[in-house]
Amino acid sequence: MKLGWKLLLIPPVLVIYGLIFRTQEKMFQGIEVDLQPLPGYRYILAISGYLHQIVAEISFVETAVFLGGVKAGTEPSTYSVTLAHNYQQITKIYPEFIDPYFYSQSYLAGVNNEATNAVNEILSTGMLAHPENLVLPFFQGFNFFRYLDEPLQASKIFTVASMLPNAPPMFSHLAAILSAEGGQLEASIHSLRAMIQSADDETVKRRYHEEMEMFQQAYIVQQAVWKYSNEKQSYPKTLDQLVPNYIEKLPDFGNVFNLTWKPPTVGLKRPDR
Amino acid sequence: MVAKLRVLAWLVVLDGLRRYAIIGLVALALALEVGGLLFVDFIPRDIGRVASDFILSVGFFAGIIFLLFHAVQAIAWDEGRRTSHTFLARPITRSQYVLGVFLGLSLLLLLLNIVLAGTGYGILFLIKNSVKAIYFKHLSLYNYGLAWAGLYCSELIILAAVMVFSGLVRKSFPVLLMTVSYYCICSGLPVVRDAFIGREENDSDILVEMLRWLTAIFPDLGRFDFKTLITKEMTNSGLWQTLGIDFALLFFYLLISLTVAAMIYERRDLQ
Repeated sequence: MKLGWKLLLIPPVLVIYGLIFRTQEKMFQGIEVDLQPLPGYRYILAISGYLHQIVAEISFVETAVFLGGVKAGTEPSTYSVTLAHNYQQITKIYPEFIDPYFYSQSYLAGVNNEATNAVNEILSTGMLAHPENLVLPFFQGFNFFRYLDEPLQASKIFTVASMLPNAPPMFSHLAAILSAEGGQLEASIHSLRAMIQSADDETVKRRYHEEMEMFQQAYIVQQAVWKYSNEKQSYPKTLDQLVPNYIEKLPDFGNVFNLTWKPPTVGLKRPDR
Repeated sequence: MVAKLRVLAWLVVLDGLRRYAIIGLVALALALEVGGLLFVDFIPRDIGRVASDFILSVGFFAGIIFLLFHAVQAIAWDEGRRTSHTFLARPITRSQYVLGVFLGLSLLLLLLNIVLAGTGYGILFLIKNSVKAIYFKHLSLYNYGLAWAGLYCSELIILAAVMVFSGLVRKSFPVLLMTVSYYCICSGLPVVRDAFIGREENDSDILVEMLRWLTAIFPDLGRFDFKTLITKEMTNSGLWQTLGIDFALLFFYLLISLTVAAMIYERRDLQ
């Protein structure tokens, strides 16, 4: 078949195609790519079968590519719900895969309470899959303490983590400090006493001893509060009201701790720096 | 009988080796395995685990393509081209024919898996030596071999199902659809059972029992999935007992499936 003059149509058709293509590219340049929520993990497990691990890994790569493309100044709360959902599904599909736990901690913890709670739930899955991992319980305890203002929950996490093989002494110490911040001074004193017994380093022992003395002084304040409430059937508005009838003076811990009062508990908190 | 089976199996192997589609499949699978070197660049920490998952997944993908687009077709070709009639005109029984074809296709599948496993191990070794030890701590050759053996067992189960379906149904496309459905049920049933896991303590629950016995017909292929062991240092001793039971189950499942397939072929009208 001879094409003849029809060949002359090809260049203008190509030019028109190129122009339409450029227009389309300009239109899509400004559009932000949304992160698509993954289907439920049971559905993915049923469909993917033997390939469920690679499906989880590809889904993780998809979220990583999305996070890499987020424009500067974008509020994390605009995508945190979908991101948390996706990491939840990925970790349920493949709990042994460690990277989603690190990414969820990096990109979701601290965005808001909902996101942080979602991260803690995701980390719980990881702690079941990796029972001897030390980083995941540290993340969870940190989230409870730093973002959710639940020092007692954090203390519980660090107490359990301190019993893991090769757990650093820092975990027990954190558990005691956070327990004190949450108002459980007596438990903190017992913890520190045990840590003094087990510590080898004299410097560390001395520091624990000093902290234990501070906790004991704070506990005296707590006992004064109980005495006040027994007599007056109410709690003092400030700890200054305990002086001088119930306690000689309030202890001063310098830059080491601040005495806190959240009725009915007296606590010790590290000062903000 | 063994000689007849061996000859028939060898003919099936030679027929498979000369097919361009099989050669293309092997080339594609090898290229995908090499692509694993690039895929792990997207993974920040768990490089060892992802790399081994990728290699085994490519092997599974190649195996499934082989089963759906060669094994199914090979039996259909036999009937379409009347090759089976030629075989069965000789002193070979229909049962021997079924067993011989199964052995031949199993051997082809084994060759495919060996080639991919060897290349895959090389790729994993390369990746392990190119990243820090913390990102790829262990590469156990023994566990790697175990993972491929588990994959091969899953593929044999699907191949046995293909033999049964080929006996029941003429034409390759319906057999292909039935095989895909079979695989989907095998994958989905454990998820459904998991959803009812709290109710399994109640023995009078008919649905839970039915799901349990369905697993005997549509086995949980996940029980042969040992991918996660590749990056572990040691295999725990409790695994041996589990492996023994799994492989015993595989043997008897294949025995029953091939017996059923042979019985179907014995009664089948080839016209």
